[in-house]
Amino acid sequence: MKKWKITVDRDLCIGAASCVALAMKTFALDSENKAVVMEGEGDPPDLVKLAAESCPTKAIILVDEETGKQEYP
Amino acid sequence: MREIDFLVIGGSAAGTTAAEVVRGSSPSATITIITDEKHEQYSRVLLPHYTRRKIQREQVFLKKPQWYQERKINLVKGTRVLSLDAKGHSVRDDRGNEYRYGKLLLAIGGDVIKLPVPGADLENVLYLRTIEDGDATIKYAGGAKKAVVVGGGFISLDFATSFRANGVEEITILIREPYFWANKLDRGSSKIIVDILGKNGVSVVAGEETAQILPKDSKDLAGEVVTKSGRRFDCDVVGVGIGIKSDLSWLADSGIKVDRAIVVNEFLETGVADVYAAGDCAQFHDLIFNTSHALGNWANATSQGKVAGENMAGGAKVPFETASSYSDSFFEGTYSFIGVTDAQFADEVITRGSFELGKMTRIYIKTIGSVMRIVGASVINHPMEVGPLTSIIKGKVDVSSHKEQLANTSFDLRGLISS
Repeated sequence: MKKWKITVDRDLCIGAASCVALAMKTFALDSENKAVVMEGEGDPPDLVKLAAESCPTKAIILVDEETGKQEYP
Repeated sequence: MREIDFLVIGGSAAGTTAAEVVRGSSPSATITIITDEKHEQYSRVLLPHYTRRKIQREQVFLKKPQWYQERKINLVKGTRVLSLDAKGHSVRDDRGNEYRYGKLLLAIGGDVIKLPVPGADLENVLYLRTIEDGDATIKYAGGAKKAVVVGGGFISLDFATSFRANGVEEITILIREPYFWANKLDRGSSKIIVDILGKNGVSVVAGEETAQILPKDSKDLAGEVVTKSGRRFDCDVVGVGIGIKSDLSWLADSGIKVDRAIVVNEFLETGVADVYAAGDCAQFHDLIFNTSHALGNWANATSQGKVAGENMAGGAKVPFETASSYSDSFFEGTYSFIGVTDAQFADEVITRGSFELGKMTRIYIKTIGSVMRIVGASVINHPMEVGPLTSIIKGKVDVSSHKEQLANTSFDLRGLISS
């Protein structure tokens, strides 16, 4: 199963929170109302991909942990 | 006649997400999205960033043509669907094409409400809903010295901020209500916003309803806004933000129930066989608040698109259950709305913060079942409260033993999440 290295570009994030709505075990809002990635098992990789694609500012970056290749955006 | 397994009307957040989710579980089904826009999916959320010149036009777009090709999703652009024959499982578009569907998703969003006065069709009277609106805003704000904004809400804040970013010197917001954003905020929260606008040279004139817009010498461009009381405001550009409304007239004979929007249950089913609705155009049964309402924000649209896609694709039915929020910034201010911020729906509203502090959170309390819950909040300049409040609303936390402390800004809301 694919594992993502997930990062959030804080300059782009505006707190629209669609990632939190879709993948709530992976993303949360911090004290600046910006998305952060939570520790732990989180959500299935497909759901994390959907959450990244749902971001209206393309602030979520997904890298395949195994290959090191950026797959989104 | 074209035969489509999954037909989606609307190509923005809800429709595109649904199509992608359907594709994930139905690899060989035919999927078509019909959109009245001329483009692949773009981000309405980024339009104010584009009009403020913070990003380039191409950055507004979320999907390239390859995205649709790779997923074998057929995107029909620049086409409006005109009628639905629900019994015959077919729709007809404005080019005379007929589509037969297996399952249909209505994700048509909303259209801006046009200012119903003479002169509202002049070229530099602007709205902010589509990328073309964004293009026009940049075109007409550049070089303008004076701007008038009509309406008191988030689009007005976007216009004011965008006009200033494009070099407009004098900006006046006209509202017919007694204070700014009166349909969503109390006077205290409104005052904080108006204060920030004032510090940035934007004035708000209350109680003035637009009567007509007069042309400049060139005839095609607005030069003056005249209100019903007879006041006149010079302008080189006009921004209008008085709300959106879905055009649902074409569904009148379809058997689909329409109230304030398309009525659906918690599974986003219309009640007419194989027809679903999601996003701004859907008035859904909300399991979190036990009420029926429509919400117009990006997170709501994408998460409804996901649920609609799952339910259309079949398998175990999934209910929609998400507490969504809407956040944005204007000049140096920020605001968020979470859950249901309707004083009529709530039992009580608690104010946290003050004008002097420059930040204000309004917490909407309602007892549902026998649990005293927070059902919504408006948050002005207090971004750190958005995350905790969203969790509390979604978790249906009983706040009865902490109610008195909610008004105290030194009481940490995060303490309620695990309780």
